[in-house]
Amino acid sequence: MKRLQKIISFFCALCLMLLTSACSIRAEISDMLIFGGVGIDMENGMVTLTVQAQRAGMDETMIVLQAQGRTTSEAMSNLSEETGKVIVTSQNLVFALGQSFMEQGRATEIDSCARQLRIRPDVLMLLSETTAADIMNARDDKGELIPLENLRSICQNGFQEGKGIPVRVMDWYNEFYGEAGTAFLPVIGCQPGSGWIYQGTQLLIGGEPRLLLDRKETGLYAMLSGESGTQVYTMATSQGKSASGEITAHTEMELQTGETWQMNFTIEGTNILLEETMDPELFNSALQQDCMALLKKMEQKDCLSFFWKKKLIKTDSQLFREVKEKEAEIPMDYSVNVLLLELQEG
Amino acid sequence: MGTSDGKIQAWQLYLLLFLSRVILLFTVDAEMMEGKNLLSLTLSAVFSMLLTFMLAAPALYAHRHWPQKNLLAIGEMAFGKMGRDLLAVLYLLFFLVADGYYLCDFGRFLQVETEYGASVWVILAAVVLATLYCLKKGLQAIARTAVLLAGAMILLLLLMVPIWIPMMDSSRTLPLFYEGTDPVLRGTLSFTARSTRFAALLFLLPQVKGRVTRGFFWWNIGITASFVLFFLLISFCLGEYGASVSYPVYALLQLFSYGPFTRLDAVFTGGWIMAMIMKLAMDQLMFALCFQCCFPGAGKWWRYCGPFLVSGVTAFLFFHTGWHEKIGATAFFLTVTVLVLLIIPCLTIAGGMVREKRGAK
Repeated sequence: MKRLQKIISFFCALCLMLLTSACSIRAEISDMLIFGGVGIDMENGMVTLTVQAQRAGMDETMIVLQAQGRTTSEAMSNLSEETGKVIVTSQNLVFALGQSFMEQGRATEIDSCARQLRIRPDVLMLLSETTAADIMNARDDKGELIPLENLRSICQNGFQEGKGIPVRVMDWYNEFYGEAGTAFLPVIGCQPGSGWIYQGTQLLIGGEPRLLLDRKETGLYAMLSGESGTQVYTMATSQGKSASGEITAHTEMELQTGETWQMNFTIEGTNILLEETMDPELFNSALQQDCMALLKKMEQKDCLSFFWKKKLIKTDSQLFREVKEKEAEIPMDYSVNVLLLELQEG
Repeated sequence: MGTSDGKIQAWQLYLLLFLSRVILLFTVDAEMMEGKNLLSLTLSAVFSMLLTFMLAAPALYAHRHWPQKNLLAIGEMAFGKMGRDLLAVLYLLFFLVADGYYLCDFGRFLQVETEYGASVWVILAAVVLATLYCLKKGLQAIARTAVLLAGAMILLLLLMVPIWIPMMDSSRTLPLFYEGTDPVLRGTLSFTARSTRFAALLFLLPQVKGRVTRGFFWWNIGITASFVLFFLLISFCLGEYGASVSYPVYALLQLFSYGPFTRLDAVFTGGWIMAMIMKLAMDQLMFALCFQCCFPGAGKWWRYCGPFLVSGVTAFLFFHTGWHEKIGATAFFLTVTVLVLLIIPCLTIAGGMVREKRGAK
């Protein structure tokens, strides 16, 4: 009986410990400042934190707030102090970074910023064409804040029916620090009063920005790297008009190693031609040429490893390690084969 | 739970050792194996378990042979009073250096990783004061506290693990033997080197009741299983990122805090503080034993000098990073661990047995 009493007392003590811990500082909902989106800029050793947030219990509208500090934590504390609210980051949708993070060696600081902000690993990341504050402050022609949902949508689905390659915080960590990591960030630009004007992808090597892909190239990169899914691709025709196709593709990349490495991309899938009619064969051929042009551009910037690294580490990790240790330049050849079947619209 | 003769139960000792061993889990990182794949630490933990059975064997054998004698008493029997005193001095130094190192490690963590940078010394001073208080209360009080703390910690881990499991993604990690078998070997040696807490078995077993050997067997398997589980969680949740941070368990708790389990990073810091107090208190009990042997005439307050000396070692290592790194190197730690847990006890036991046989004749 005494033993049972002791066991019951022990579990009561445990429950009390878990249930009453920190109850005195638990904030009421009206005391909370709920972050919807967070932007970080760095300048002269100071961190500028710009957030779109909601003052819970007051109204539903989002407001833009800004605070500065020597560290992200300090900026967050300052914001909390200025507003008198308890910051809640668990509802955050996007994590925007200013161009200042693309300066030499700055990309390594993204990790600590995200951790200090307690950003969830599944939150989408993006890079502003200018400052993160601009992104958080983006307004439409009526002067109203553009919903953050739009940003998420652009990251995921692209701009004007293009293609986006979303990057979550956890993806960034692993691509940036990973052995076969291919770190990139979606880039978004905006113009006061006009909303979003730009979408692309910034490829990074060793934390340094290496190549900026525009909206169209982002679509092609997505297609070549097997992230395509469905996207609308528009190209110029010989008559000076444009032809669009809704492409649903799957890409296989074959890698042959030898004296000269060979990458063979095969893009298979379906294509629904939109607007201008175009010979499907010609469309495939034009798409193949666009892909080759992108590969050429990436080759010139030493970015072809974005395609072969992940493939090689899975198929031959020994060779991968040897190549990585030697840091030798590999003579590379590539080809693209587009086999899209035309489907009728509707 | 304690007994009226001042002894504790075997399971209490093992919960105390659990808290002490958990510190290793908190401090583990890719640097320990000089590799890039934390997944290989799962194998290291298993191999290290086998080696730690070997390291604990002399203490368990000595307890079976001389249940009422600790290492110092066996040393006196084997080598006389001079030999015993020499042993006591060696272990005094060992506890000072090991505890100073672990406390310094904790201080560095507070300074580098957390936001309490300015209050590192306040927190360390609080840990030392709490250790002094535990030391004053004695082994039974320490063991009872350890039961409560270990219970809370195990419960928390059991509740959190199911939340993390769905977030695991095997594609985030490198192949198991991506860097060959070397990191596994280095990890094994590193884990084994940080098994200094088994010194408790050499000194405290005479004050323990119950099935000590069987308890150790299951304790070692249990703690290894929980290590393996955590390494799998770190590898599959954090992926390769886990290898790039200094405290992967902390990073895991910081990033994957969901629902009711928010701010687990603060829980981690609290857990480390609690485990540190328990570990220091346990070690300082043994330090006091050795101190009394070396200086039998010293006043009773002198037995509390250990935590102050440890603070001194901690401060020295904190400001001399080079020394901290040298002491923390696997080569140094492994040598000390093998010497303190295997070679010296084996020689002492052998000497004791020879003396015992001669006495019997």
